[in-house]
Amino acid sequence: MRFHWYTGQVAWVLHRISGLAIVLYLILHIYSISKLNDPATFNAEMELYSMPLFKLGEVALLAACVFHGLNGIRILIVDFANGARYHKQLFYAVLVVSFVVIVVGAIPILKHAFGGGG
Amino acid sequence: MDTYKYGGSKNTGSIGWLLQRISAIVLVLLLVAHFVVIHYSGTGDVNFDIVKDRLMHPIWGPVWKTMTMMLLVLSLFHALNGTWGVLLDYIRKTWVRLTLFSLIVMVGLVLVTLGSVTILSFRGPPSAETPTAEVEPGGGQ
Repeated sequence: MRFHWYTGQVAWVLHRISGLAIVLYLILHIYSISKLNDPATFNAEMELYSMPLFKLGEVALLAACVFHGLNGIRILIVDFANGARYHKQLFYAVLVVSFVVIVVGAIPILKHAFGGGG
Repeated sequence: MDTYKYGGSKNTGSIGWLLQRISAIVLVLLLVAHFVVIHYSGTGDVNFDIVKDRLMHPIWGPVWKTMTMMLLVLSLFHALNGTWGVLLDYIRKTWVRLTLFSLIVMVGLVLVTLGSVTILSFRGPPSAETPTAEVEPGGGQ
């Protein structure tokens, strides 16, 4: 018997990993934004985050959020709107729409980081 | 029906399950607005002055602050409730669960407090407010 990845398993694992990654980001996010009470520190922080490495991280964050959000909508449809009958098709739709939104959303971020003008 | 109630707990987890979904619906809407407003309108720069202008706006300021407070509370609830769900899948010992649950609640309380203080106490820089009062020409006697 050969191990086989089913669509639902892949969705479940990706949802879990992206969710946990966003939790870690959220904790750091709330902490770093708390520096708003000290404008100089806050601006220095934002300066750091505008470096290319962090902008790549921002794209990864966007990807995690977009996938988690769209797959979350899929879960809501499966749970409340009898979507279990076509949950596979829904997952393929999630992947396609995620890809499009991530690419479109990443363009301004990468332009800002590498394109000079923006 | 004890099979649903792992370790003899009275809690089936259905309330947490439902709240996770309700918070998800609101979060999707709030997060789209959050991304568009903060990262996709304007130049893409984030700095103190930009945040100040948004939060201290006479009309929209309170709206942004309310939205950010909702985002703070709901995202933390969703994040920590989700983390708790993941942990329950892998942690079996009751005392470890209790310890982690306490830790999660404490992290949540600390971050809600930190975030609320950041948003609600935001007044702009004191250095930008006091000079206008002092440098006012011919104001005092």
